Amino acid sequence: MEQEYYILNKIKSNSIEPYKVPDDYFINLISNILLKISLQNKTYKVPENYFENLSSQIINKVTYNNTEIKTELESIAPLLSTISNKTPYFIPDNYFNSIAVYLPVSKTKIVEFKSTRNWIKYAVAASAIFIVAIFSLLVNKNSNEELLALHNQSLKINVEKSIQNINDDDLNNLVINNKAIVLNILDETSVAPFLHSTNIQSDINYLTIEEIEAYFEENKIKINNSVAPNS
Amino acid sequence: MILNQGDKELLSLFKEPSNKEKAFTAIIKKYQEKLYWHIRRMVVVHEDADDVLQNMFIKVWNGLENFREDSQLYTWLYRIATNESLTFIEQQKRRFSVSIDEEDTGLANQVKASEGFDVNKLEWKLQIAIQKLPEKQRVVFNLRYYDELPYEEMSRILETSEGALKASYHHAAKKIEDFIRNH
Repeated sequence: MEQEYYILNKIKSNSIEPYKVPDDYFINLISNILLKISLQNKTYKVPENYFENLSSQIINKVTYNNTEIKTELESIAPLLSTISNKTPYFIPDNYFNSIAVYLPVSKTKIVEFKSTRNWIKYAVAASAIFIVAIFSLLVNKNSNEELLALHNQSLKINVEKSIQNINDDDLNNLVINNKAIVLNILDETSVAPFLHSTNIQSDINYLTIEEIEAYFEENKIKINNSVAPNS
Repeated sequence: MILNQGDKELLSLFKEPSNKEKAFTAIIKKYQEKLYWHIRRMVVVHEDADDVLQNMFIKVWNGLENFREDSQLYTWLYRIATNESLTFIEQQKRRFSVSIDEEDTGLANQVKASEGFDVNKLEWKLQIAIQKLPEKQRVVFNLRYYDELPYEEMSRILETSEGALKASYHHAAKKIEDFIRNH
């Protein structure tokens, strides 16, 4: 027993502590413990009205160098530095309480109508021929070929003449109005193939006779109305 | 209270579909006055300022989702407001085929037509003098003189060096001083 103690004492007296601790560990120990305790208790508090004043504090930080700006201005423009920097413009009462931003409901692609006269003419000409073709098919259904030929001839001449006389604004209105008419008289499922396909026969299969007649009648009236002032 | 939250929190809320509009409204409320006045000093007329402000906030709505948070929100907002104002002024110039910086035309004239205008008051003379500055110099002057922004912030907003901005502000302030002394 005595032998054992002897050995332990011998080791103790000769040895150096084998473990190491980080520098300043004991200096920081108390503050670290206190920090952990405070975190555990979640006793953080913010000053009264902290959040109410936060935005103005940020703005103030941004504009912290007010004095610097004043000094700078005094050296460049002494008279200017004496003028109040309040803007004298009036704004309507309660303007800032009534600002409403009308947000787009969806990301719809907006197509701008540019003043490209030739392009629109071709488009209108194509539409007119399309209308003539629809009319032909309708009349065909009534088996009156002579009347059809005569009517086609006269309508084609009228449409071509009208297109020559039409001005850019009328053309824009015509395109916009016709689009509106189509959307008004036809539902979305029937108008989709009508607008995108080039195969007239298959297009007509999607539409009822009443829809085609209504479309034709509406467009005929619109073309005549649009060209009236210049013809 | 969503209105009192910081920009980072508002941006996080904006990314949540259910809070998107609330967060956006809070951003508008927070910055509308500063941005309105920044725009108004550029375009002069209230109705024009209102249009530009609305358009800029619509652009903010469209771009906010992709906003990189390494720059500050208000810096980005000021940049959009500045660009929208300059674009608006350019459009007006093209529409009326006149230089709206010219004497007795355009913006200076619109200042004279403003409600409460008094030619004898220095603050109104100052407004006319500002409208006679070249557009970019006008932006620099307004950001420094009215918004009291440090050159460092202005440099971020206008993507121009601090040195160039200092020179621009000095030129602008001197021109304005001369105008006020001589009119």
